[in-house]
Amino acid sequence: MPDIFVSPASPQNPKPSATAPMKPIMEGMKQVLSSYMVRPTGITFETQSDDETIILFLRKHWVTNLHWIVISFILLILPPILFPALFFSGSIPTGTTGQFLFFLILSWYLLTFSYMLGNFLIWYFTVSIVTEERVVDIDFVNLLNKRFSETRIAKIEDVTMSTQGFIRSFFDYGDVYVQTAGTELEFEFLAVPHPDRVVRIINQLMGKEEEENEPH
Amino acid sequence: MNLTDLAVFFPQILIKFIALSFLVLHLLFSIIVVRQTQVMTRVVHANISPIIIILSLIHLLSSILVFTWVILFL
Repeated sequence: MPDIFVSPASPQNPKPSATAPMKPIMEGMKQVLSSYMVRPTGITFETQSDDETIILFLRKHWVTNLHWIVISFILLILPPILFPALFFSGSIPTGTTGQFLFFLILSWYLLTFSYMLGNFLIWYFTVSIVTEERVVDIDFVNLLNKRFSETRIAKIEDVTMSTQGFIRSFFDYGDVYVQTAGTELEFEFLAVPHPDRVVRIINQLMGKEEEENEPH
Repeated sequence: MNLTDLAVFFPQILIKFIALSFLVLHLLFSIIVVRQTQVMTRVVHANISPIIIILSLIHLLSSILVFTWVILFL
């Protein structure tokens, strides 16, 4: 388990390499595809204060994207198979113009693009952030609805996790529930990777917060 | 002669009308996606944020291109 209270060591005298110009792009791509980041660099959120450090940055595990990726792949390869098959079987009504068929194909790929982009954006922007001070949960429910909620670490009472089923156990992802004091809402980090590590890190932060708040 | 009669005589008018209605809705959806992406990249900012915005703009551009093609050629 990474030590969350120690700054990551910087390499001494880094040597320039041929792939150096590609590094920022590769780092950026890594961020796009990563759903579990401890002390991520290059990521900030709107209400973050200057002295606040992100400890954990979580998204849903990449496996949860498989269903729409498979559907998208089928949608992408279907027209080159479907249209010739309809054409040779004589199923296309007589009088159908080439322009109309072209419009159907364009619309098909336009909707497929929308479907892929929509699902990607929902995954990309649904994030859970744990900082030294608080827990932030951003739910991008669909392209029209989003929810932003946060609570301070000191207000957290209980953190539990749940991993159910073969796929979740195999890929090590599950749900983490953060219960806050009183009538305040419960935070749900759904389908996040390594839920046990997430619980442990939040517990460590809670312990640290309690130590800081204890009267001397 | 009303619109229904016209559609019987000129089915391509009906097809074009339906196609444009669908594409107007898609265009509105694409604009909302661009706007939401801009807002969300401000909420959570990463090095990759400009690429995400460019993706949503390509989506909007695709919608505009198909809309224009339908107006001109369908």
